[in-house]
Amino acid sequence: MSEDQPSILFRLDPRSGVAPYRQLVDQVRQAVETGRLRGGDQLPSVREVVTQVTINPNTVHRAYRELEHLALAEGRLGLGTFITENPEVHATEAGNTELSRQLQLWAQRARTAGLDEDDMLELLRRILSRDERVLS
Amino acid sequence: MTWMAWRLQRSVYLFFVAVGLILIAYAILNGLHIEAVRHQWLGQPCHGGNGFASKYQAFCQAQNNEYLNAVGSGVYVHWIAVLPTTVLGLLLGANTVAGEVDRNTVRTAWTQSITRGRWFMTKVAVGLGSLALLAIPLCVTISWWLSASEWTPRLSTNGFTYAGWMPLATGVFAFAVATVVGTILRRPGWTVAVGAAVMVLIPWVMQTDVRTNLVPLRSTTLSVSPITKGDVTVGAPTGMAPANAWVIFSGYVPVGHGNTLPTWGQETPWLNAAMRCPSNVTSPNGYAACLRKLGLHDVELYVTDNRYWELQFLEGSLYLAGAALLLGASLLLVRRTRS
Amino acid sequence: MTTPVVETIGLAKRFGRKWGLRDCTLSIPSGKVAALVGPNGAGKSTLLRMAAGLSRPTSGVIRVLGDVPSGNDAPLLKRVGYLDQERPLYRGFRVEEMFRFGEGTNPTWNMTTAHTYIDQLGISLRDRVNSLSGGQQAQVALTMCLAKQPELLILDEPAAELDPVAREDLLRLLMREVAERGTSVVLSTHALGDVGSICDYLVILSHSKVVLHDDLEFVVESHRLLSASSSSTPALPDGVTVIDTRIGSRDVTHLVRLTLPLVEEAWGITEPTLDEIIMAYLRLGTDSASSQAHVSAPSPRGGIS
Repeated sequence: MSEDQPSILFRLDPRSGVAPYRQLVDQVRQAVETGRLRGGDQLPSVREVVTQVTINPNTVHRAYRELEHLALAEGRLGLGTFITENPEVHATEAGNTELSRQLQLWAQRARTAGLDEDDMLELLRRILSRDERVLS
Repeated sequence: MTWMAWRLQRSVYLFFVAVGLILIAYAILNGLHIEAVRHQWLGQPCHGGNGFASKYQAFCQAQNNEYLNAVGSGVYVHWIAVLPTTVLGLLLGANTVAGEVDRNTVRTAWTQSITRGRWFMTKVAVGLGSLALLAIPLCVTISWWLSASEWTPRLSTNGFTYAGWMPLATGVFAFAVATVVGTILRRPGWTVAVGAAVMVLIPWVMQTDVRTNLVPLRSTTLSVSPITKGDVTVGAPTGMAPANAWVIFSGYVPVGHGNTLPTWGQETPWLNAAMRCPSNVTSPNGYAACLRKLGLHDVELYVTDNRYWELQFLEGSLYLAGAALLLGASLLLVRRTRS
Repeated sequence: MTTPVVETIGLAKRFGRKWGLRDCTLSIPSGKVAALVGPNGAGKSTLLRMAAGLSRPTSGVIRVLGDVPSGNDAPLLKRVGYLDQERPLYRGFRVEEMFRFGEGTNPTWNMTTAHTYIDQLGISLRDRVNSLSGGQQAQVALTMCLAKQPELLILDEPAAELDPVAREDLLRLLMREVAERGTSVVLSTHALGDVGSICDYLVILSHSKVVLHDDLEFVVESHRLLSASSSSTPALPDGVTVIDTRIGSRDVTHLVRLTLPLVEEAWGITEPTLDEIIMAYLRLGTDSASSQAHVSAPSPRGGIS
């Protein structure tokens, strides 16, 4: 792979309704699935992506972090982000996304508001018990 | 920022420099011409001795006319310093704040990394400095012209305001007026209009009301000496103020009145009373006796020519002090204003 | 917790009898590209000019990078770059003269940056600014902000009046700056398309008031479209605030903001696009019947004014 050519050319569709970071993640996943990207290939740097596509650099960071969570890529300090050897591409995120994503965000907000884990669990317990009373 | 202040005023200023050079050339040529004609007129054969022989009558009449024409041509020259400096002062002052507010460039200027104070002071310093550079040669030229042409005594109303360093002082004042008016009105066109009105009014007030109070006045009492030739006796006035003095008041005041300028209310009844006396030309003794009986005498209140620079300094300083106050007010407004 | 780049408390600005901005309370965190969205006349320029120190509030407080903005605070002026909606450049100046002005008035000026950007845009240093197109003038004005190397860029409608290519160039230039120097950006726009791809913080102004201010990610994740048939409309679930309602011939759709995770059977749930969310908030503050805010939970924390 030549130094000058980026390993993947990202495209962004601002009207698709899909969040930009997810579009990047999906494009990398697809490239790995089809074999265009292989284990050990370097993903373009944040700066390079920003010249390819009109996108917020933070979004690129986020996409790369997500790829790391999905074990598709790994960051090597000082060198960049690389596709992991033997990347496993999971099937599209299961239906639990809706709930778990919302919960994740709610937990983030609660933490910022100063609730600790016990507070959050207590709140959840109270809500659940209220629901049960309504239903029963 | 210094370069910037210069760059913003460059075209206007260079235009005025060009105009100034033309005016200086014109004044120098005109002054030399008047001087030459006057020397001719005052030399032989028309002057020197006791009048001129009748055979030179037509020639001397022509020379007299030439002299009068030459002097007449100078009627516009005395403006060459005060008009450009005042107009340039107004234009530069209007562009200090109003011009930039009107074109919204203050939104660029006031968001660079310098304070509004520094922005303002730099523009003012460059404006005033360049104004002075233009004004000085103009002042020197007009002062020379005034003495070469003898067009009017330098302490006269016209001579004083338009020469010496007054054009510089009034130019600086005009700059300050336009700057502060511009800061308030925010439109350069209106600023120049209002500034021009102020620059007509203030100097007029200065020369009629203020200048007369800046230095102590001297007085001299006029008397009438009878001269008899044959059986005709006429009165010739003596004791007038020295030549080139600025005679501020010539009229009747009570004996022992002192050197203060009488007000219009005071002056009128004394004048009316003295007017009922016999003429000082045809019956000088009767005139003198009548005045004595009324307890009045005929005086001139004046300022001597040797006070010229003192007066220039005082009046000029008033303008400069006024300019400093106005510029200070402008600075305060600029620091507070919204764009 | 780093200092917010722009923080306002009850900020208001009145022009004569008309309010340009009212009850504005927000806190834009550092390191973000924040979009100020709203129609013309909503108060965006008013807010940005106060942030730049060009005008003073009628009431309330504004702080930029922790300091009160003022034209007399040179250290703060150094850290902020401002691009006005009218991009006022000095008529008759050449580009190089604008840069000379910039160099003389900004100690952090980087002339190499300025020259590089101008080169890339195909503008010559010797061009006179009034001979440039509107788009090129905007780019020169933006270059002046960037060459100053500020911590925060305040840009009033930077992409307005630009053709699509110039717009992409300008936004990409901006993103490069953010990528390389970590500059925070607050930009205003009335074109929604800019928002999704480049911004990560959203402030929506409607009728001179702030109706939403939050991380873009959270905004997208915390809004849903609930639809049901109009013949049998179920009760709204807990923890939702209705932002906008559309009543069709056969169904009713609410765009809602979630304050609790949504577990819902009766309503059909879809994700609105960012444009739909923004449009819904822009309609808040009008008197149209479609905007009814039902609060079926305790007041939501932050985010809505």
